[in-house]
Amino acid sequence: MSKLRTLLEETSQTVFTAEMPNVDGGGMATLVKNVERLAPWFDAVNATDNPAAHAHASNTSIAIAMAMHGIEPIMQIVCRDKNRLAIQADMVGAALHGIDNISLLTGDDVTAGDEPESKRVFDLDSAQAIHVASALNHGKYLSGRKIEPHTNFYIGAVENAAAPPLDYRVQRALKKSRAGARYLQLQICFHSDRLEKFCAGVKESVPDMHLLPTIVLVKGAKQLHFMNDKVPGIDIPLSIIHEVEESSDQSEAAYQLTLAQAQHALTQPAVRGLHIADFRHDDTLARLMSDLGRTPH
Amino acid sequence: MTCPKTLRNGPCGGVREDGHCEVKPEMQCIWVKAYERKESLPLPQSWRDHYNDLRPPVDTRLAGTSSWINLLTKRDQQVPAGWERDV
Repeated sequence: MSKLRTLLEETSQTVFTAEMPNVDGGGMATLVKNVERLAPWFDAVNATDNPAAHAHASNTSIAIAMAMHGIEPIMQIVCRDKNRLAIQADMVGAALHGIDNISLLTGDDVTAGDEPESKRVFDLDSAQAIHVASALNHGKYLSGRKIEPHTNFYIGAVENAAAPPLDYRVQRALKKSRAGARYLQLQICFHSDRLEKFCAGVKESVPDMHLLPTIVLVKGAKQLHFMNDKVPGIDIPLSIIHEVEESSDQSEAAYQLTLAQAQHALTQPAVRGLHIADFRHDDTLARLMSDLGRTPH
Repeated sequence: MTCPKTLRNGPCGGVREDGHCEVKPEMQCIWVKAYERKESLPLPQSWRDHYNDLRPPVDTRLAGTSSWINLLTKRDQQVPAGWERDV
């Protein structure tokens, strides 16, 4: 049973999600350490699928390990690395282990990763993958072959409110909603006006869609520059980066930027909580959560 | 189909600030181009609305065959049984 579903569909509580750090060796002990760090603050945590087109321990294995250690996973599946057979296998395999939260993404291109010579797959796109997950919830594989009992996925997706064509992004959210998505974790957005417009549009045009904008904890201007230059789909106005860069205390300035963004995002229509991406890995995660009125559980 | 990710349902989240492709920075995103055209050309609204249709996964068996013949025979409208349902 998905706690995330209960929180979003049956309560009005603010929901917080996060990202499980990649596992590259270190064994289960590393994962458990991360679970212990995140569990007190978050309702569910993403088990990622080769994020930024870098290979890591697989989405399904991480999701299973997270569930075993007491934190609710949102299992991501990206369309870049797997064809429709493998994507459905991921879905049904997750359901076998009681994992109900899944999030379907297009995925960064292989050229964003450290193996750009890889073959890109994209046999399905994100909207199609959402539709296929819905088919499994209706008791059918894409082929039409039956699956009993049907899966019980709480289907999510990702949208980028700040990427062109800006006027279209709400329509894309609507398309994903019609395909079966119930919540959207939004890409990091440093244009507050675009976030406002997107959230208002979703509230008006996409009934019952729950939004979780991403807020990122960074150490300073260097990480902002990196995101601006290297991460597909992220544009950070230079004025924002310079504000942090020119501060006498970059670490504090970066924190205050994050806090202000978080508070702003939480006031937007259709927003039900936040997705926190922590690139600082220090005590500011606890500080942010406390400043947002969250108590550890 | 010039989208390097072969996406069929609109632009991905990687579109650059200038409307160009994440994978090929020198190329305008084909979905941005299509969006701009459908907005700017004097088209009936029903044609414009097709931009937002949920298009099914590609039938890879049709690679290399004539899209005109597939259009006329409606072969290109066949979808797997699990795709069709009332959403």
